[in-house]
Amino acid sequence: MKWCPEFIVWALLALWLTPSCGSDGCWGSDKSKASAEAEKPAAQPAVSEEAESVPAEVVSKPSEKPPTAVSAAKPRQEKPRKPAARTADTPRVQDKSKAKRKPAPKPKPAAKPTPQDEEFALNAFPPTLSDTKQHRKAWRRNDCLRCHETGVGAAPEVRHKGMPDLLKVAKCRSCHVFEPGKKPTERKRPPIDAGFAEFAFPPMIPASAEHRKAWRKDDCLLCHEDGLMGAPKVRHKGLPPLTLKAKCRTCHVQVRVLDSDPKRH
Amino acid sequence: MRSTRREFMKTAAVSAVVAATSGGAVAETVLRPEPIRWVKSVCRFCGTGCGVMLGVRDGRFVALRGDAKHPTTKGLVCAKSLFLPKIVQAKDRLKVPQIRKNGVLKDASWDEAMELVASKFAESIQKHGPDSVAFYGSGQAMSEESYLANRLFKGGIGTNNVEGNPRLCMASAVGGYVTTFGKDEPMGSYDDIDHAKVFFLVGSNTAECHPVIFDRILATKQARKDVLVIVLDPRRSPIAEIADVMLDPKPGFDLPVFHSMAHVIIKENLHDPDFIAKHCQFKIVKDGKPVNVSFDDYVKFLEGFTPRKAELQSGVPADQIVEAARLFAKGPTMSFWTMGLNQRSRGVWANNLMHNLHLITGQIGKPGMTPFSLTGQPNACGGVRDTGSLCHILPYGRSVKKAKHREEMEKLWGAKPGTIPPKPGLNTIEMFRALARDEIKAMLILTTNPGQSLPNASVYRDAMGKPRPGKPFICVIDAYPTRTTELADVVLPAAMWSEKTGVFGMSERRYQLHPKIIDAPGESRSDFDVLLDFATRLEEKGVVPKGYIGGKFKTTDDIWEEMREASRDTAYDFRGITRERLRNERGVRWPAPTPNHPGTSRRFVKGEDPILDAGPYADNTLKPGEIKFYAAPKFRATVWLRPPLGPSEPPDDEYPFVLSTGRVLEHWHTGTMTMRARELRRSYPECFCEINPKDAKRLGIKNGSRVKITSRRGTAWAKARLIAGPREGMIFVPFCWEDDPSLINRVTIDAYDPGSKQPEFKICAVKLEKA
Repeated sequence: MKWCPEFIVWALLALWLTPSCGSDGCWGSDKSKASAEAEKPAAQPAVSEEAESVPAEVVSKPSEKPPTAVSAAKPRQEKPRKPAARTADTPRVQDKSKAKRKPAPKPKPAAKPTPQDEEFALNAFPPTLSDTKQHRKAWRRNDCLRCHETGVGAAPEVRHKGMPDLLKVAKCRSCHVFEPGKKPTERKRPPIDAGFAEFAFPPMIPASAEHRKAWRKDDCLLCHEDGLMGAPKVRHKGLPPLTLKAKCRTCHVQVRVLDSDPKRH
Repeated sequence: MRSTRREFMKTAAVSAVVAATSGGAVAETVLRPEPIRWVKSVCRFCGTGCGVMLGVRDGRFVALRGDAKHPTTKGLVCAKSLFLPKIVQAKDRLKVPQIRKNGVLKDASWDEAMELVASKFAESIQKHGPDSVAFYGSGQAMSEESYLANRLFKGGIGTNNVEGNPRLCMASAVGGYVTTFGKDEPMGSYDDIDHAKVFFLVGSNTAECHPVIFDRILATKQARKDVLVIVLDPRRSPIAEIADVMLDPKPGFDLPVFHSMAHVIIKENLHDPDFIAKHCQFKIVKDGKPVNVSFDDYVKFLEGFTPRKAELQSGVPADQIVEAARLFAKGPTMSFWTMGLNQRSRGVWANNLMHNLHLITGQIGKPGMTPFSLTGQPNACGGVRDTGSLCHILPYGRSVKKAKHREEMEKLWGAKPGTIPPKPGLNTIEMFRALARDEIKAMLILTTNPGQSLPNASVYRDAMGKPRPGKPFICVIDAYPTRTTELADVVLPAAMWSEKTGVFGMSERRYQLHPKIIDAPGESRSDFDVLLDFATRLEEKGVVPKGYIGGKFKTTDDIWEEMREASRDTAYDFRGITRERLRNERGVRWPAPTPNHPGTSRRFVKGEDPILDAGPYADNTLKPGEIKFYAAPKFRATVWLRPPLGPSEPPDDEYPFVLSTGRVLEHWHTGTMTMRARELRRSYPECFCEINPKDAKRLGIKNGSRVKITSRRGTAWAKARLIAGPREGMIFVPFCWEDDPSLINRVTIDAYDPGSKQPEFKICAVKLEKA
């Protein structure tokens, strides 16, 4: 017989908490959020979140971090950072090592993203780029749209609503700053296609010059079969063999122009 | 899904208790997100009929994938299909009925809207007679819905004014099959793709309009090096990439090419004299009547189409015609065609000449040898052509002109004898012209968008929507707002295909069931329910006999039983395709007269076609594999001697370009559905006009600049796309965008084929200017 100790914990937790819940309390409501906030120490979430997101090397070398306007503006869209968390001699690292010895706390349900999160590009400064292998490569090639135009690999799609048309074709580096050492945010942005099954839709093909060429010649596999030039390799697991012989365009659509009619969203 | 904390706690507590008592297995299930449930269905788009699996979770349609077990499409689907979950759940779906009041559509209750529709129709019938009302349906409605509408209008109201949008796309193919073989619908199937060595693709951008068929052709060509492709098209569409021989005639002048290929085949003794002697007859039209002629007369007729002469007429080099003819005769050859042949003022003739090539080479009824017309809608075949939902036909190959056929249907439907008029109703173009003259007083439009799809659209948009005294009443049933709903007096919100259960019949005669998997949004109802309600109200108002439809059918299953019975003793006999079979199997190809019949791959072939085994067409003197065209006069297919006439509006000095319209892979027809998926819309966000670079240079048009396209009927604007696709003097514009400047059907011509009544979308004269 297989036991699930988590359920016992949840059940006990449920019996303990139920009388204190309001009858109209529900996930994500202001009331429940407020009570959840009241239950935990005020500074703890910010510390633990930042401890996860800032690597130790960066913490030990704060001077390497470029003093960009964008990074200075960060607090407007993320929770305020604790100044102490940016230096090596703060007790944060010790806390982290202690945390390793202790049993991991139960993950709390993710907070519901605010409208500001969703429209971050509109209401805040342009987000900085996290320091990942893909971003470094794309930055050199100015090839951000390969992922961010199409949403491939769970990259957030660019949503430059309300911006002048000119900006849609400008280089990404004009506004976005690369931030060495920055780890990708762990906050979940609401996916555009929430409600549909993950991987339900084949990734779109970017509108870059290389892709346009490949599109005309129908030789996408020249790069995507072996990962040439850093192209993601095709992974058509579970599809019938005939599909691999089919033309890529049968299923993958190519971005031609960014959305021009926001009414249709 | 929104759940309260209390609910979650209770669930957790219950789960723990259940876990403790059942070993945890159930509790794991309770806390995990519900897995996707996959349901077998069929794609909503073109007539390929791809088998799909629909993913449902928490009552939502969350994903779609190809059905790898499907016998013909083998798990292949195209981009349009993959985005159907988004399309079905688009935010701007119509959810409540709307009635136009003071020029504005306003929400109303179903009862109010239906009562208004029924009153207007009843009033019109009582004052002006049954022919003052009309029904305009669609190859996208379910078979049961088209059959029910046909039953109501022809057998209940007593008018043959029943039409559908297949008139705009498939009517010439029907005309071709009927005049050559005696019955509509292809005799071959997709199975032939695996056996063919030569593919003859004519007027078909298969790569974009039927991508799964193209993928199968491509896979065959990749697998076998001896497979060759001949393409006959004035525009080098993406299929030209795989063409071994590319014939690009002047638009509208391909008839001489067909005749010339026949000339070469006979001259080089590549024809099949035995097949011709046994199965063919030759006819020519003289003084408006078909006259029998001999094979020798045919050979003499073809003398006027030597490759050299054909080159002069068509612009196709003579040596290419010879090469194509030799390859065709070598075979086994499978021909595919779509709108390039059908949407022409000589569409039936072009279809006839295609069949001629197969007949004189005996390339019919054997593996890999068949002339196969592809369809553009999921149910143009099963839903409109087979159910007889056009103005001149009755279900399953019957004609309104034949008294016996009318009697059969009146008896089956329980209609008063003599209800079905012997005269065909108005065809689509004439129906809308009558609407413009206010002779049609009320029209019901179902699941189609004539406000955008009709040729010479401005005239018919005015007919439907321009305010005037005595303006006809227009009711539109649709799932989305369209360029037609904006003209309607009443708009009724319809359920989409995944929100109702019914049958689609695709190009290869396969009937497939699509089950309901989710509920329709808001107050939307299936077209079937709306038609039942409409019929019942007309019965109450005394314009349809009481009990004619009301109370007889509750679900589409009920009407399917009557449809099966209607196919008895016809060449379509599908009495064996029961509802239960459709639920369990991945479609069945008719004829299939008994529940254990596996379906028919090749018609007219003894041993394969059950119609030759029992029933009125049975012939037990034939040996297995022998062919008999049992529906044709004297059981012989007709080789037609057709004059090589050109288009109705050739280019001239004032309008020097030929405009041809069509589609792109990512958008479907008027874009009503595909424009609702953000990704598909981004792939082609605006209308474009393909121009040959030589023409563009002459006119000073650059890639990406705006151009103005003007015909004698109207004007449209598009972005120039310079590509050596269309031949010189020709432009190509897809008709998928609904915005006013891009509405290319304001430019196209509404001249139609005198036989099939199909408009000539493919050819009209225009002038091109920088905008």
